[in-house]
Amino acid sequence: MDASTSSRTAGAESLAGPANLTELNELYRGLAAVLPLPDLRTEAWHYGRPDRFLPGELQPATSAQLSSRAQSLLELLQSERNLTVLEYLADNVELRHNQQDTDGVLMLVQRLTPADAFAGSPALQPWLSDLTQREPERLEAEALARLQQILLIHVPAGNRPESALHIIVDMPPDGQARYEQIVVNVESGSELELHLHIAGDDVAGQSLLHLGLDITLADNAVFRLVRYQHTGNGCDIRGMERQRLGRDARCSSVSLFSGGRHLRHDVATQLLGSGCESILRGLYRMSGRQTASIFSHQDHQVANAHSDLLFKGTLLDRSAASYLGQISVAPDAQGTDAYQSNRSLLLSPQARSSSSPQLEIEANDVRCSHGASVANVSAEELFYLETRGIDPETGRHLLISGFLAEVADLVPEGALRDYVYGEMLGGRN
Amino acid sequence: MSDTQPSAPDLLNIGSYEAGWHDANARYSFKAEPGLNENVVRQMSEMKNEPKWMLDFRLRSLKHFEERPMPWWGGRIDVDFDSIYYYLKPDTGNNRSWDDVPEEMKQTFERLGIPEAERRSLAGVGAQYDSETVYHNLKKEWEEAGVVFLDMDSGLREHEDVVREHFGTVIPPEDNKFSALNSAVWSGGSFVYVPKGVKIDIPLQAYFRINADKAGQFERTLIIADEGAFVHYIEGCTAPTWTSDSLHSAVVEIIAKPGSRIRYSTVQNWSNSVYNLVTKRAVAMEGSTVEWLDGNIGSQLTMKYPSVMLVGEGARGEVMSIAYAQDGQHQDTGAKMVHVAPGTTSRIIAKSISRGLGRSTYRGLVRIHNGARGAKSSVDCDALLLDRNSRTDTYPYIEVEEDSASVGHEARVSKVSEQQMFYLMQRGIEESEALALIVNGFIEPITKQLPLEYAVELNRLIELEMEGSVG
Repeated sequence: MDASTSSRTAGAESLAGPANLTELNELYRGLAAVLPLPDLRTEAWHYGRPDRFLPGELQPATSAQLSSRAQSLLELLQSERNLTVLEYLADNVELRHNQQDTDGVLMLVQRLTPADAFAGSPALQPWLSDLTQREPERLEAEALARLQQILLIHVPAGNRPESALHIIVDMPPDGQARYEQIVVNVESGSELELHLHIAGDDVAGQSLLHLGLDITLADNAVFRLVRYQHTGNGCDIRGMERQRLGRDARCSSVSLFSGGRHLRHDVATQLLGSGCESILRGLYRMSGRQTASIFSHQDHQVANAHSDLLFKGTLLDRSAASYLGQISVAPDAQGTDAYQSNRSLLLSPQARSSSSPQLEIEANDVRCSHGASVANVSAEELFYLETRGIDPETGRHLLISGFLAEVADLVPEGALRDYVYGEMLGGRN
Repeated sequence: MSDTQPSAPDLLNIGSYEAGWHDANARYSFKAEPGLNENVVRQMSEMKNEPKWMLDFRLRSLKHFEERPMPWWGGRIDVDFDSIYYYLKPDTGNNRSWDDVPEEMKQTFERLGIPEAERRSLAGVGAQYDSETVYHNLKKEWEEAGVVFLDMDSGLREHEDVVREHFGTVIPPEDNKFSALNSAVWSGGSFVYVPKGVKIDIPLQAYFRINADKAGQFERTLIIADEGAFVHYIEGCTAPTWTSDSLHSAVVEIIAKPGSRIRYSTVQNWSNSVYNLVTKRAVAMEGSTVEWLDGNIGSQLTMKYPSVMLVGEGARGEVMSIAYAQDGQHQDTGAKMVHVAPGTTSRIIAKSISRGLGRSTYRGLVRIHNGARGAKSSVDCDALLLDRNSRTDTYPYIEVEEDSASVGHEARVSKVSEQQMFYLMQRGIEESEALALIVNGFIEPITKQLPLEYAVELNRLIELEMEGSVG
């Protein structure tokens, strides 16, 4: 079953589901009250405690004031030609497009408020159907219970917007929590490039963001995503990215994580149409006492699909990262080609890293492999550079830059690449 | 003898598991009531005339077993603990001469080739029949060198101090539910002690056979290699084919003192009714090496993860394992390496083959503690899937707290290459033979580490199991 058929059937079934956001909030408020938090049995929580992502005493976000990081990012983006910038704030209804390039026909960006009927937006149905059919999870339920708006990005069939869409999601101020859901629906034969910027300043207490990103690609659709997550101290972020790929659809996603305090990132790709391809890249750069818990799932349900995942990270100071990834191959998914890899550089005696790349394979004509490595900068490589007259300090810097570049260089060249290397990955190695 | 012949339906049932017959004439001088309670444990300990500390150890373990929930991970364990016979004592003593072993048991072991192997290439042999060891022998030259190779019960009687010092130190009863079960009702197994500097150049062998229906076998093995010693210990296991379940739950503890080397090889070929839930762990001290070679064929469910705790500087651990799962079988195997000391190294090579509806799972842990400077570990998993419906899983866990360590893990899953099959067949090799060749080639890195007879045996077993797997 490809994604477009599933969206059609889903439309019919969802009649019984929530009719608007208010009803959805109600539904998940009930679930959040009864669902347990994930524990060691369900996932490997080595370093990140799930209760850190509970709202607790935090107030819902109210401020319409951009953080200084978001402000400078906005200025940077507006100075670039050929970019569609969409400023995105919790309670600011105004959507500001960079008018130079936007063509409303090619792409619809719509904000759904609590009273808007879901039935009025068919592009929302794949998300809704997936949401109501899968087993609910506590942290997600907490976020959905408090969701105040949905950003729907819809590219109708046969459209290829020339410029990329940029969305800035700002962290809420100290003591507040923000819940956002972005739904992307790219129809048959269409293309979309989305840059998602998550920005935030240092806070003394806690600033919490739950960000859901749901992507449905119909047959032959192409989607490129770059996620820039660069926030300050005290910022805790729970990200959830779900992809559903139809026949011959192609999805590539690059996620860069820097700064912040606690991170939990969950990415799941469902390969539902034969010949589809999902490429997932991630880079986390941790320092101080930051923790990262990264989960991935490559779910091959049909024959001849391809998925390739690479998550890399560097760990400084007392930071800790855990990666739990899974590839599942259904009995009918013959001809699957799946790869999964997690590489960490441990750069401090107090840093910790755990990695568990898992495979569950029920078809035999497949090519599946995975790898994981945890190590410091290679002494042999350092020695080689030294014999060439490069001092160890520079050598180390070179090797770490090379390690980061494999993912960071996937960011398009220009101001954004400079931003990534300067602001996000810069500083000491 | 007719009872010891495999019956046709059994053969159909399990492919070509050759050890599926049972000895109906086996006599038991004592057969405890089925089910487990304090009385069974007390009775057992009394019959074995054990010291009080061992009885206390057993009772403490029993209590833990009863309180501990079943593992929530791994394979499906569906054992009716109340129907299992926990202690079956064959009507014979522990014999040092093969001639003294009762005829029926002799036939059993002769069919399995035990005495023959001893004459040819072993330093010592032990054979266990259900709960008790029926034969044990060690060549004179090694006895004179101070080597101890006894069944565990005799070991406890004759070397109580050594046993008490080490027993349960590597795997305490509280480690897991099945180590608690074994600690409560253990019987038989091997006790090996190799003195300082003694290098036994040919292997010691033990053979474990479950004969009775619904029997539990809980052998307990303790191997100690003193400083600079070397020993290669081989273990083989079989059981008849029954319709009701049998349980094999062993505990193997290995202590490798500084500079020593222990190699432990096992080829287990259980029938389809056996639950094989085994805890195997070694402690490797300074400069020592522990190698586990693990072949798992048959059984309904095997859960076995040989481990090495690398506690001494420069210690090395190695696990090489093969699992072969067919219809109705789940091989949940793997390895654990825990690096505590600096300069420790480890390697895991795991290969699995799934055929028909068989499921093989690799589950492993590599843990590097803070302070294990320069520790290195590499893990390699290869899975071969023979049929459309075969299943394989890989669940590795890597935890690193040391920045100077280096850990790598690689896993691959594939089916038999069509190109290789085509090449062999166009050279005139039949399809089934070609498949067997490819499979044997796949496991060759491990079989070549086994003593020749075992390697031949393993290859032959897999060839037999492969018969009829094409088409």
